[in-house]
Amino acid sequence: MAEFTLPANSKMSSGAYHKAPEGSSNVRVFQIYRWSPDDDENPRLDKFEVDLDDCGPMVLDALIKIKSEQDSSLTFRRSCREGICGSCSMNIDGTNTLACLKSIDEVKGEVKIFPLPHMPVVKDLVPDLSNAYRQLASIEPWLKSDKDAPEGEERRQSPEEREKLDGLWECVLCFSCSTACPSYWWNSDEYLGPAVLLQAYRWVADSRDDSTDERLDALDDSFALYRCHTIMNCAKTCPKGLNPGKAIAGIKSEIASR
Amino acid sequence: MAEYPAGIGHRRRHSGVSHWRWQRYSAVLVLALMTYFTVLLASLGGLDHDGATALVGHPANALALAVLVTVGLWHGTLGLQVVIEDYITIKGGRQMALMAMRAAMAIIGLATLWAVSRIAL
Repeated sequence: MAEFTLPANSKMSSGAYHKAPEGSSNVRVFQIYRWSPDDDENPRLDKFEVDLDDCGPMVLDALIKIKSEQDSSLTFRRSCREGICGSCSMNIDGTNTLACLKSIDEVKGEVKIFPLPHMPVVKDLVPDLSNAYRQLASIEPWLKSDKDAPEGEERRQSPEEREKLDGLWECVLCFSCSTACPSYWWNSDEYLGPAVLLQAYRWVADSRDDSTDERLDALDDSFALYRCHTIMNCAKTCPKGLNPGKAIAGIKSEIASR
Repeated sequence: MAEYPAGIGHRRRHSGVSHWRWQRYSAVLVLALMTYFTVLLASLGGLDHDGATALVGHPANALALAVLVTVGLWHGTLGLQVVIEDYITIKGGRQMALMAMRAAMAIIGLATLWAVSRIAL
């Protein structure tokens, strides 16, 4: 049956207002999505005043400061704080990105922070990425070679072969792209999404991998691959400046030219 | 949530490459035929009913129109299939919508071909 009402926990209300300490000189307001599975409450938007003169320059610095000084129950993922681990992906100022790479100065006015869109929420800014990880596992993202590695040596590539992996290996699997893709919003149970397809192409393009045909056979699926309609939100939002749309076009081209 | 099939060796549900290919081939054909159709339409401007039916009924024009209708509706069918597959996720509803759309396109195609043939023959 068609749904004519919003699903549970879709209506958001305004929440608590946390003031900055007395004497703060350079205050910015952060609006942060809050939801807990432990009560029956709808989500709310809490506001936190942060003194930027006593805070690091990135949105992640502000989140850590808020958690340390104002509300220790605020929940978010983070680890490396330098754009390598991909943990702190979230929607900031309307765009999916990494909180550790997003400068507070880039945002005009109040800084609005939400979890990655269209994913189930575990708590606050933490999305459930189980489906995305299952999809990543399904493309078998590792080298599959028929030959043993040379004794005491790496598997060699020419500089040209290695160049084909540029723009692919840098992906940190933050899933900012997949969760910015309307096709993935509507069909995430069947469509692999830009992040996983970029990973798939990373192995298709690898000269050392011997499973190219097997990989392309599996990817040639009307839903797994061809739900991509080159909307290009993926390339626009990628915090690492990568272009998953181009990688997907690469897979389609490889399949079509077989 | 549906369990995603594990492993790159999983049996794919339905190959997508031929649909993708024919969408592009038919787009190029429709572009060429629409250019021809636009010129034909413009040349109907100064003609009366008898002159217009004679021009449309000319074997070359009638054949081109029949090909345009067939390829155009086929291109439209492929495009609408994508829209339905994207937006209809209700169990069973997707297949029903696809069948209804294809039937409607076939009826429109047959009616148009019949109209062209009535003028030409």
